[in-house]
Amino acid sequence: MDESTLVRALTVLEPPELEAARARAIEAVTAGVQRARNTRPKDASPSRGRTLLVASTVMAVLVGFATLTPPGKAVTTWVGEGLGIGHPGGAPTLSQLRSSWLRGTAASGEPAYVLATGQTPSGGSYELIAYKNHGAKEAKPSSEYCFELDLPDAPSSSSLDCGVFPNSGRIYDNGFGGGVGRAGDETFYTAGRVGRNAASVEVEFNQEALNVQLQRIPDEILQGLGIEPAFKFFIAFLPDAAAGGTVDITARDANNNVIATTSAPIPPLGDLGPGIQPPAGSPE
Amino acid sequence: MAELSEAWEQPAQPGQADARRDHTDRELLREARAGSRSATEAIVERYWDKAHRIAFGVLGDRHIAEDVTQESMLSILANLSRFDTRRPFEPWLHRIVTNRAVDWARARERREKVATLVQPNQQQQPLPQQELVEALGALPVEQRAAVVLRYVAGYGTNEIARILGVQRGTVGSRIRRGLDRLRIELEDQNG
Repeated sequence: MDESTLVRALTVLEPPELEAARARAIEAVTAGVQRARNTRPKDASPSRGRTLLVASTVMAVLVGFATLTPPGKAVTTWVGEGLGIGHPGGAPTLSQLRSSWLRGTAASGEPAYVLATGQTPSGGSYELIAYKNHGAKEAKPSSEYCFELDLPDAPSSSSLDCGVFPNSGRIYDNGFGGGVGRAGDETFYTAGRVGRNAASVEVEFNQEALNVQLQRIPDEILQGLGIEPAFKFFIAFLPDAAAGGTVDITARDANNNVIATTSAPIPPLGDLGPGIQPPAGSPE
Repeated sequence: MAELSEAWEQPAQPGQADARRDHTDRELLREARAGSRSATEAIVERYWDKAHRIAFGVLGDRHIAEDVTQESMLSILANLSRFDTRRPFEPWLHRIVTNRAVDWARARERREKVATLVQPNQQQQPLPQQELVEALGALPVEQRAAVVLRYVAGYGTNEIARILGVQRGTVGSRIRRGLDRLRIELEDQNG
């Protein structure tokens, strides 16, 4: 078959009964959206009245990059607002599961907050979470808060800077506070916090450049929590990292000068380590 | 953040989706985000065919492709508050559909180690489409996705690079190798 014939065949490729499938989809998707709206949780205010200590966080390299999804909506006021679950400034979507996973750890019972949200390549969501971590061996002495990445659709929760949870790995140093995580067998990502002075972040996985999402965490949220210095958050999703490989991250300033760079191996799927397992009988 | 209306419109009357044909994407998305059922229906009607064709090209099974496409659309439309209506909607939809289809294909290949995507009970398709689907199934999923986005969906190389999250050069090589492999597979099928 010559190439032009092949291309023509591809351009008209379609599944059988396309119209019938469309009609089914109109009904099913519309009904699904209505169900989602009817079962949407009521907005809940995060706990108030806590003393927020000034915390210094690990400064990581900040690399600016055009976000692929809208950045987390800026919270115009912090105190007194009713903030929704799963939204910046509010409680994590996985609050209940996190409570069971964290039982027995230094973070048990600590309130957690969503700093930023976004979308995964498969259309699910992610939430950058901050919580206070008192006394944990893993916590850096200067860090009052620890940071994690939740994927509510998986569900999964992975540590970025401190704390150890299932399916997470901490591999970064050299100025990038972050790590590599995965949700189940499918979703691999590298994410971290970076300072606000960087202008671009490049992430390569096995020498293949990836799209990077970068979000500036609103000052209102960071100041409300007492997290200093302010930072940005980056995440890149790794295509099929089950076999492992190498991640290279480079941060540059506004003049394109390299601020920091790191190269880290990612172990194969089975070697990422179990971290702290959920207690027996905890909800999935 | 705009709050979604709690009220849900009565089911759209016949022809209402047609009446929205002149609405721009942005208008439809805003209306859907505000709770308009007819706008949601119009969005699905407007974008279903190409999205489903992409999923079918990657997966080779129309039932699974239909499920993946439905799930993708539902995921987006149930969370429209996160979408910036100033951005083009269709490429974003196709990105999600493609990634979900690729994830599904990879997971299936790991679990079932199947050599062909054509299921025994699948309705026979008129030739040469069935041969083409079988040949696509022989491609590595990354090449398959690139070829499908290029020729089934009609995207350019830059757009495909954005959708797949890879470099432009990678897209070009995947398409080239995919077409070459397809020709070999089709020649082998025809003897």
